[in-house]
Amino acid sequence: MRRLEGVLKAAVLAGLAWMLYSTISDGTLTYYTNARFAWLPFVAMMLLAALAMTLVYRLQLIRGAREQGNTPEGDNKAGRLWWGGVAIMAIPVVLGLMVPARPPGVSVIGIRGISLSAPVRPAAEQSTNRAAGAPKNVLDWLREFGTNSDPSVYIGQTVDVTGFIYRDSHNGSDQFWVSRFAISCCVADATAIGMLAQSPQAPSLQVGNWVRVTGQLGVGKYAGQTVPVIHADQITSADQPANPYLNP
Amino acid sequence: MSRKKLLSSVMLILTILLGTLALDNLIPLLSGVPMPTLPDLAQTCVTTFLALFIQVMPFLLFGSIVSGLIEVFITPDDLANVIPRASFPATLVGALLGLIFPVGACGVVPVVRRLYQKGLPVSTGITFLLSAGAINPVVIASTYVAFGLNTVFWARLGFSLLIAMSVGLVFSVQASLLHILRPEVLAPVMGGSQDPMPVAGAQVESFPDRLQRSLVYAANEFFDLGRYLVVGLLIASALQTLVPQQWLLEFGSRPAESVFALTSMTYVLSAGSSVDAFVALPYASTFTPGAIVAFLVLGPMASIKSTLMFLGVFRRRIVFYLFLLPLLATLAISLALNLRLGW
Repeated sequence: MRRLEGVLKAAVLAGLAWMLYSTISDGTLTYYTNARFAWLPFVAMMLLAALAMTLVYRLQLIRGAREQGNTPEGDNKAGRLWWGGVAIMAIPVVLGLMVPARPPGVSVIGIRGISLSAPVRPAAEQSTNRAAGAPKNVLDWLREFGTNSDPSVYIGQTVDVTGFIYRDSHNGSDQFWVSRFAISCCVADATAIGMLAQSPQAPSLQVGNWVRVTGQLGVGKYAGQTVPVIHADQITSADQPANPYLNP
Repeated sequence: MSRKKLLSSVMLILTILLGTLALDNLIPLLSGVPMPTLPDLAQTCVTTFLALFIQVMPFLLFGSIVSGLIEVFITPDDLANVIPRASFPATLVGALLGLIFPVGACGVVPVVRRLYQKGLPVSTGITFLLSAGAINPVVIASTYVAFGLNTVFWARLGFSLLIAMSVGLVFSVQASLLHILRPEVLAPVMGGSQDPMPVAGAQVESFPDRLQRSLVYAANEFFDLGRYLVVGLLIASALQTLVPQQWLLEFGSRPAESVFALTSMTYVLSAGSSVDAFVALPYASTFTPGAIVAFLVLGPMASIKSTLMFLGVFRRRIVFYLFLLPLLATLAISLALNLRLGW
């Protein structure tokens, strides 16, 4: 292996380890994957660092051997495009460190759609994302709606949910979505879910903004169907939660 | 010399540490300047790519390390003693190798490549390659956690074994590695050496030396196949961000269309096989069982990332067969499940 090749490979390995370290240390790892799998990048980070150090150490050995007049054996990788591999493997390092981590935005919903029903986990126990006593989140409500086909049984129940504003072509002028992304393992499988809400304030709400909506459930029409709709009493702007996703 | 060596390695490690610290403080300063916030879709594409990469890359890394250990610690003779010559037992061994090397659908690629260089029979390697994503303890456990011991669980195991072994047997008529491997992968088989970093003057290697050498192999392997992984994941994340998938979900209850929908989704998704059971779970309530089985059986065998990575090992024609045969078999099985059995 050429010296330059070894140095660059060690640098990219260290860069990958550092990229993983920075997402773990600043908490943005949850923007990418479900916290359930957090041990994986952690182990990978350690191994990458070990590989980088080994490369550096071996390069020292080779240089030592050269200085003593022992030329290392022939370089059989001559002509291979090793630098292509190094350059391509540097892409995730550059993207991970330079592009500020941000969860997917509302334009993704236009591509993937938004759902009024919760993704279900039949066999495993249902994980809840909330502390005991905290109000039900969007996912909890959708699960509950899924158990009963008649939306009128929920009329009058108090709702206190946080999500971001979304609006589609089926929404009336006073109607909007309080939406969240649900992810099972990583952002690649993110699906948008949401509850419908109505308020005279609706036209002034900006799509993509995080809000906390409180009010009572009623029924309303969406795309010709009768569905539960939040009659919003109060809409206050909210911070994006530390973990912006809900995990079914 | 050894003092000098020690000193310079310490210096290098210090430089890396200090460099990291310096950069860590620099990046926040830089991040506002050169990279203004990306447009929404580009940002999502990057986020999706990084998410897939963070989730799948560790498995390639484990696989590369296993491959490095095999290179240094296993001789072709060891392998010849263990692997049967007859084609059926050889494919059976290939199907179960995943239980010994639980490297997953991604990490198996460097392992198979290395085992071929040690003289593994063609059919054993192909079967291992296709079954490793499903027949491995991590994947079996995650499928069990997601679905329990129901039909989907057994169908995934059974059909993965069946398809991997069938394709392996098809390849057993082709005994020569010459026709299936890329020329540069063949070099060591043909007597050339691929030793990336020989240490001059070391006659008898000590254990730490061999371990180090295996890690150097691992690093090279990681770069060799990592570039295919990165390109594959870039394509996958671009497709996932830009191509509307909403309409796919409307086919959930139709016997044939649902299978095609989830088959194409599993190919594009390129999620690691250790987590794909959790990805499939949300669809379990709305999609036909055949479609769920197709998603779980085909995903570990064929996806954008694995097709790209196979290109780093096999000739193009073989990569095409490795895509086509599992695809057709999966479609046939899942359509039969949906149409005939109607569960």
